[in-house]
Amino acid sequence: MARTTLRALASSDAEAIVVPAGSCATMIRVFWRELFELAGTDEDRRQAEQVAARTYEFSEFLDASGAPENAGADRTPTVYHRSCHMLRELGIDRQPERLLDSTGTDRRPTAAEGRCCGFGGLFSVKLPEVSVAMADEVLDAAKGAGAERVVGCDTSCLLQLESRAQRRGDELEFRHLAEVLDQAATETES
Amino acid sequence: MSSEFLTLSTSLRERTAAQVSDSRLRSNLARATDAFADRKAAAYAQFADPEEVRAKARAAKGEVLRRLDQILERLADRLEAVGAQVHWARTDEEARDHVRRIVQTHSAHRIVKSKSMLSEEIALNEALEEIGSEVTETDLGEWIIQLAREAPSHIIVPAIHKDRTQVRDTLQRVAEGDLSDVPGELAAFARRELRQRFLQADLGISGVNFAVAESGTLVLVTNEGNGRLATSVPPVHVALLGMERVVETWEQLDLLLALLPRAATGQPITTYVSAITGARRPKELDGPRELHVVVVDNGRSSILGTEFTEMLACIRCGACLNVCPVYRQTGGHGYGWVYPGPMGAVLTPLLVESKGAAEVPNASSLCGACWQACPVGIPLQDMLLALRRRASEEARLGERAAWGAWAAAWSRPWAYRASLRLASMAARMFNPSKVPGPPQRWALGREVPTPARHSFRDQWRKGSR
Amino acid sequence: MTTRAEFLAAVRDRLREPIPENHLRPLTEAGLGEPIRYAVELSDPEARFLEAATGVGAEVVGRPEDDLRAILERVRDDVRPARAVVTDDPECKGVAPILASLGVEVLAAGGPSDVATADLGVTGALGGVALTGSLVMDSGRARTRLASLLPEVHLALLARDRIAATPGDFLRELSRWFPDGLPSNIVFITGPSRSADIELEITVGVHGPRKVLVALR
Repeated sequence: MARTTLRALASSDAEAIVVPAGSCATMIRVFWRELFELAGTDEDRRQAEQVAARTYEFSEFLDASGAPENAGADRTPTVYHRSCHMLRELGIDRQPERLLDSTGTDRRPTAAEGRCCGFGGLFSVKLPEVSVAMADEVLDAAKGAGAERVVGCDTSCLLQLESRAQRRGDELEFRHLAEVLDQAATETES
Repeated sequence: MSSEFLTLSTSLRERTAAQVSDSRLRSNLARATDAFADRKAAAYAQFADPEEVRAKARAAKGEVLRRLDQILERLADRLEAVGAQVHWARTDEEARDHVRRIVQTHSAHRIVKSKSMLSEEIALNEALEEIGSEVTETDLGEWIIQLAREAPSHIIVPAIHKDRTQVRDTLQRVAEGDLSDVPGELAAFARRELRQRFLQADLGISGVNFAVAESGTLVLVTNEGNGRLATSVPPVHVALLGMERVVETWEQLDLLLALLPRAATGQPITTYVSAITGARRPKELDGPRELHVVVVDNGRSSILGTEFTEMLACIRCGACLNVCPVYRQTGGHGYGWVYPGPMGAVLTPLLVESKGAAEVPNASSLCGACWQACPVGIPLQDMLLALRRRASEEARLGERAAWGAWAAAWSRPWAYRASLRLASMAARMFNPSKVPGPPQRWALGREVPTPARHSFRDQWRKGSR
Repeated sequence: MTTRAEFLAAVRDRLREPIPENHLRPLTEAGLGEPIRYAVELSDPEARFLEAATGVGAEVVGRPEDDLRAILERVRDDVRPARAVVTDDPECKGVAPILASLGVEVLAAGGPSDVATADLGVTGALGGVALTGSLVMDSGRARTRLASLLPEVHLALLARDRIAATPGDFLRELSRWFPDGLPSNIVFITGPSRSADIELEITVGVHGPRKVLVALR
């Protein structure tokens, strides 16, 4: 499966491959090396190295290109959820928060800073009780910070948190950073 | 393991779900692990470059493991030269036999123990009680656990899952008057009770944090003083040494000694660091007259030389437990064996051969916090993933066939698109919480997301925003 | 029973092939190189020692310029010991007669049940460690390890010129500190005995001394 994606990306001559999901960017940049080492040809490994070198996670790419200038009209109390793979494997630290702050949003620190949302792929269905308890702690911390919105850069974390929040009846909105930036840019234009 | 708290015969999900449902346990754990985090940060700040120290420690441990046979040989030579008696145990049974024989030789009925995870691993207390000895755990946390007839739920703070009221209720069983729930008063009660046991003991048992091969020295890192008492007051000292807990030089020890307490409890150094080289010398007035060192393999050599070799670098600090978001919810008993948290989830299937042990690596969301916290940089999450891979190679055929079909479908663009449309339709037609297996488990506590009617690809093509 | 040769052969057997590498996070062969670098001011070891020792709850009861009798008198007034045990450490020279003259019964170090009856243990210290505020006890020169352990109060006399900057500095010079070889028991003592086993709340005096007093000489 990875090879199909690898071939597709390798055949493109794009300067940069921008991935809007932290885990997917991590897969390409970090874990493909191990994957093709275990089950791959020399050609796979060569292509994987070459694709990894021009793959960027969305916020990382945007931040390096300079923060967009926004009107800063969005004052929604917001918590940014730091995703594990972005934080620890890609070492993406404050880039998403910087971008988020450029929208003028009321970003608040959370007691669950850097703590896993509990998704973890198969983990979420292998140990659903633990997974849900982990989400609860992240959600409780967001609510404790007075947030009305949780912003993230990894769709799987957002899916986990939103699904749990819906079941709990939490009045929290879940947005990908791109959506928040897009909205701010639209407001700036108009 | 006699304790009802340790069992790999139930499923991991049953155990963890039971733990998660205990909200008192979860709040006890959250409070404790948060306190650890603050203290640890301050202690690490004393290093000019913490990452450099970690990298050096990891390299030093790697060097030791590559030459473990030679270093153990040197250690044994030095231990014998300073008058210690060295016993070799390939299995837990052999380790128990060695200790039992020493106990019987000295007719040691009253035994005091300082905390040793290795002794839990080999289920030593039960083995000694069987031959009629009375074993007293003297670390405050271990004593609480022993009185409660439970297993430790943390490798550094065994009773971390109990709050002060629960501790008071436990100690009350052996107290005559009424106890308060003030930690200082409970500790004072323990001091009075246990002091007599130390003075009457025939034999003391301890673990070993590090053994230094170049001088034949056993290093014990403790705070309460029970480790010093158990190794100084009784006439015989038996030390249990996991064969990987060895360094070659004092210079290597310096690195690990600087990291262990900082990572474990956020202390720059523990209250007591004892370096024991042989038994009492002729001019000394106190100290044990005999020192026995039992070197234990019990499955460790089978890890050596594999992709899990670095697990043998573990210094048992508990840092990975303290940062693990899964441990924080489940506590130690959910893991089912003596070593909990990420390090336990790696060690359990490597040291125990059973179906129950093989599924313990699933107790991780692979978030990587453990690796980041590990003072010797063990890539725990990579090992957890590799262990799952290993287990899945032996997994049920059905699960593997499903994965195979998924991989085949998503490798072809048309099939991938068709599967998404199918999923979108299916989700509208069926209630996912009624679909057994993963959908039902997801729906337990979470809403099931409905796939978008039109995929991102379709929307992009149409140029819509 | 497994013999030493059998045990070690099994270990050696596992090390015949090179250990597989973790491709993501390869193990470097970074040697030990320089000692650990600390971000702590260590240029005045005595000052740092006193700061660190008091930071972990030890009490400084005397400075080098203080008269030994005055120090012991203060300790007696503070601790009110009925019995004290005094070790053979060279720093303790003269302590026993002064304590006796202050009305404290002095025991010679001996078996555990004797030492356990003392409320005060007076020892020397082989050395100190500035970074951590630790005292180093040597069972060889003291001839006992219990005087710093069993009594509720431990008074240690430490010469000001015997303070190493860091634990590593001490450990790298072991052969200088112990020219006749290592004694059976060396212990680094850093503050009073403590436990955090109940709710991680720190309590002192669990098994060892509740109070650690330090007098610099």
